[in-house]
Amino acid sequence: MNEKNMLLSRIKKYDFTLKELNLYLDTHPNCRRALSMFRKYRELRRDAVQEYNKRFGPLTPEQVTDTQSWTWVEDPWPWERR
Amino acid sequence: MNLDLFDDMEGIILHEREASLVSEMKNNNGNGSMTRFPKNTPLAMAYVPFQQWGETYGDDEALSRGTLFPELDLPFLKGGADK
Amino acid sequence: MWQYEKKLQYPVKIKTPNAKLAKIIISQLGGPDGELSASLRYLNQRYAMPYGEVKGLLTDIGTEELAHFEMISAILYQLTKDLSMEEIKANGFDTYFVDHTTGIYPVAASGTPFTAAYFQSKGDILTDLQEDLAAEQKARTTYDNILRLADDPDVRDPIRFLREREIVHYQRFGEALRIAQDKLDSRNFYACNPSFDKNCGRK
Repeated sequence: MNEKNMLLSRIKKYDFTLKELNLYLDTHPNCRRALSMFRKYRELRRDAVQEYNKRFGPLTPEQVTDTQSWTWVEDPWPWERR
Repeated sequence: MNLDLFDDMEGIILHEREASLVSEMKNNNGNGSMTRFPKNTPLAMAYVPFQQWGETYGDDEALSRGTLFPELDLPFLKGGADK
Repeated sequence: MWQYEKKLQYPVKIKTPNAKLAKIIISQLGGPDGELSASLRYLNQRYAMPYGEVKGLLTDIGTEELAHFEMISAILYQLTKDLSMEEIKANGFDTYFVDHTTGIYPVAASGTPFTAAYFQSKGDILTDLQEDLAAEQKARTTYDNILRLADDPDVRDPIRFLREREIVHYQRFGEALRIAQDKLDSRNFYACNPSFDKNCGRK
C-alpha cells in the first residue's frame, strides 16, 4: 500500500472510532470516558487530515488549497477500484 | 417508576446465552435462563438493555470488526467461514 | 445540512465482476430493507422527535446510512464494471441492463423501483423507534442471506461490515426507546403522543 492509501486508511480508522463514539454519546451524553476518548481521536483525526490535505489533496471541497487547479474533481473517486 | 439508565441496572436481567454474564448481576437466584425485570415493569412495551461502558477494541480492530465494542460484535456464523 | 467526504467508510476492493451477485445485492440499494430506505426513514422521522438525544441519533444514523448507500453502490459498480455481454445474458442481468446499462439505479432484486412506501414516519416517537428496531433487524437478515449466497471474500468483507453496523444501530435505537420511556408516564406510556400533544411527559 502506498503512503497515500496508508494515511487514508488511518483516517478511516479514526473516523470510524469517532462515529462509534458519536452514536454511543447520543444515548449516553454524560459518559465522561466516552467524551475523553472522543477528544483524543478528534485530535488524531485533525492532524491526519491536515497531513493528507497537504500531501495528497482534499477530502472535502473546502479543503482545496491548490491555487493552480481545482483538485477536488480529480480522479479517482471513492467507488472506483483505486 | 424510573428505570435507571446508566450505572444501576440492578434487577434488570434479560435472557443471556452466557451464564457468567447473568451471575454478575445482583439478585440472581441461580436461574440463568430466567427473564427477570424489576417489579412492576410496565406491560405492552419493549425494553432493550442500556449498554454500559466497558471494553473497547483498538481502532484497527474496531474498523475491521464493524464496531468499537466487543459486546456488540455478533457475527453471522453460517454461509461459510466468518471472513 | 450535509457534508460529503471523498472516501468510503470501509474499503470496497472487488477484483472479479459478478452479475449474479449484483442482481442480489442491489436489494440493499433500492429494496424495502436497504440502506436508502433506512436513511430516508431516519432522516424523515427526526423532525417529530421531542428529545434532543433522539433527534441527534436519527440524524447521525440516517447520515451513516447514506455512507452505506454509497458503499453498496461501490460494490455494484465494481461487480458490473467490464462485464461481457455473455456474462450479462447468462446471469439474468439483461433485464436490468436494458433499462440502465451498468449504471446504478435503486431497485429491489425483483426489479421493483425504490419507493417511500418501504418506510413509515408516523409522527409518534414510540411507534417510529420500534419501526426503526424492526428495520435494523430486517437489514441484518438480508445481509445474513447475502452472506449465505456470496463466496467471494472481496464481497463478503464489506457486507460483513455493513451487517455489523445494523446490530449496533439496533442497540442505539433500543436505548433511544428507553430514553423516551423514561421521559413519559410509566403508568401509561400511550396516554398521549409527546410528538404532538402538549404536557405529555412524566408526571
